[in-house]
Amino acid sequence: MRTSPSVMRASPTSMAADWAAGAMFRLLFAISVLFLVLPVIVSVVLSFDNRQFLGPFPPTQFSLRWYRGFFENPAYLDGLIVSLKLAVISTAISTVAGACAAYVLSLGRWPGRDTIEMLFLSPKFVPTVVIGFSMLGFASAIEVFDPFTRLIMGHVVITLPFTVRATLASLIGIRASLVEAAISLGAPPWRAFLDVTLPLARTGIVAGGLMAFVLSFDEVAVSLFLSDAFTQTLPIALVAEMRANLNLTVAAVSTVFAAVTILIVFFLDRAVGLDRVIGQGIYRG
Amino acid sequence: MNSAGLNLVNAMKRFGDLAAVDGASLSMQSGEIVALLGPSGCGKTTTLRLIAGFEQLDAGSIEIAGTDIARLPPYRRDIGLVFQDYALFPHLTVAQNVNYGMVQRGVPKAEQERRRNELLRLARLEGLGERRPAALSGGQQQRVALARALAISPKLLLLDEPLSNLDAKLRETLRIELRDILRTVGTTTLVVTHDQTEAIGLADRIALMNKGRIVQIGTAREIYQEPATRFVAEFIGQSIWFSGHLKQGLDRAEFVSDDGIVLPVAPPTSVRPDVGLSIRPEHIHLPARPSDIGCIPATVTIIEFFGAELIVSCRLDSGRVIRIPVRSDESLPATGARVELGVAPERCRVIADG
Repeated sequence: MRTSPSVMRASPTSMAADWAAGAMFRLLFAISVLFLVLPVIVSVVLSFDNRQFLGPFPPTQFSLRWYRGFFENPAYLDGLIVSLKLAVISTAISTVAGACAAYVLSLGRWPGRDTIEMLFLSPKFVPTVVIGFSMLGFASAIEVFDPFTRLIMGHVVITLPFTVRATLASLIGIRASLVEAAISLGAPPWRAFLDVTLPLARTGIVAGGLMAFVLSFDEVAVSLFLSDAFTQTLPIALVAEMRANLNLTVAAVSTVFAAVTILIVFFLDRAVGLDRVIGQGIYRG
Repeated sequence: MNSAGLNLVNAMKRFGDLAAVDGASLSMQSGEIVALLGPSGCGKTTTLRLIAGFEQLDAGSIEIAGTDIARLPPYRRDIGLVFQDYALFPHLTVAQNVNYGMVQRGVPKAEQERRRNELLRLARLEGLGERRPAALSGGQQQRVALARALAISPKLLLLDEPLSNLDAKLRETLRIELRDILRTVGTTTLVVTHDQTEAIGLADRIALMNKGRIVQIGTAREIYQEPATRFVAEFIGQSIWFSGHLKQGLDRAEFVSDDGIVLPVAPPTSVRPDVGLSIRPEHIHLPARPSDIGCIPATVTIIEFFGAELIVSCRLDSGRVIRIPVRSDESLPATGARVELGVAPERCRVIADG
């Protein structure tokens, strides 16, 4: 078939439409960013407000009084310590368990594999309130009444989908030939796992762990069910304080909270960036 | 020299209903380079994985230097393997990659370094030891994989489609380079490939594989001149195939094709019922020479010019068109002319239709 040569030219109207679409897209993007960032900025600015009451924005005078209030209130400090301890321990358990589960899931197809994977990922889709309540019932059924142990159990369950998912994604990226190459060179399978699989999955494991940490640190609903009056996480203490007497200490705590979270996300991004560098090595033909 | 001969006897491997390797036998001398050549799905990759130990034999045996290794795990077989995708460890440097097998074997540090430098020089990778694999070209990556496999002084080296991942333009150069390296080291080497140029260019002998069996082993020339079956004749080079039957007299034999062509042939050594006639196109004379006893009437349809050679398409009376190469300095019949195609009886090979 022969086609007559012709030059494609865009009509002025279609060019204008393209321009309008592009502008609209940028505008929507800017609005979304503002919606995400503005409330946080307002809360950060308010946390430095010198006024006794919740006055109109922006504040007229600045001070660190609410931060002083935060550090002088034992409920917050205790909450911070509980939250950090809880996040560290449940992240450690969730990362190790999640990595092991992901490794088994990555070994190939076997009957029931997809069901098991779904089971590991299911806490993502079940409302956290339901998980919190179920875990409370389960803990009392197996006679665990220590609130901190209960909290760890609950937090491991809700963070597991993230550690399994992140590790599985990086394990699937490792070609089978890499492990076989190590074995053909004389490494027994366990040695090949340590020398090849683990280092190449490391970034996925680290990313999953950081995600688990942030999730555990910020968690409210599950903790609400599993904590008691003496063992409270920082978010629970924050909610309780906000209900009892609403003042700007909440803004100061939120700012500290946001700062810690941003720090963790920063590390997460570095881990993911590293992943990309190694990924090139894996996928290069 | 550490390398040894390989003896694969009646190897069988099934995957469910499919017999991937169906009684393959192959014998290699120490230091020999053999290409395992066949179309995709013929079982050559499974054969390689059986020898390497990544698949278990259902029946048969694999011997290296007279010892059956079929029950040994792959990490104890001392077989160097170069993967099709090279499988270089992306998180390790070139030097660490090459060292890996020696580290597993507890080779002393000084010896590791000596051997590594020797291999990097041989593979023309000097000065690249600290690079990561991702920072190397495809050809360099392949030579790292080769150096890494040779570092363990393997009894046997296996190469899986060594050139298929490379740029078509580079392939020719790299094939010659690879052959030189293999000849220098002198390790017994089995090259698995689907590309006959690669097989002919790299190997001393070619083992042709089809449907899970090794159908013929020999030098490229032997296989080309005396193909054992129709598959071999058509896989290596061109073949014009006639199905039909053999009429054998006392001192001569004739082949009668299904479309009525009768050609005298050299009496075949063994006669099987499912035979056919294979003729290499370049053995057909156009027009027939006086010495040709058998003739095939045909009509010239198209003449194509390719420099030193012409391709003349001829339509046989059965309607079938065959393409015959002719030197361009020979005088030729015109398009549409009736001609007699001739062929010497010894060039007509009656072989199995398999």
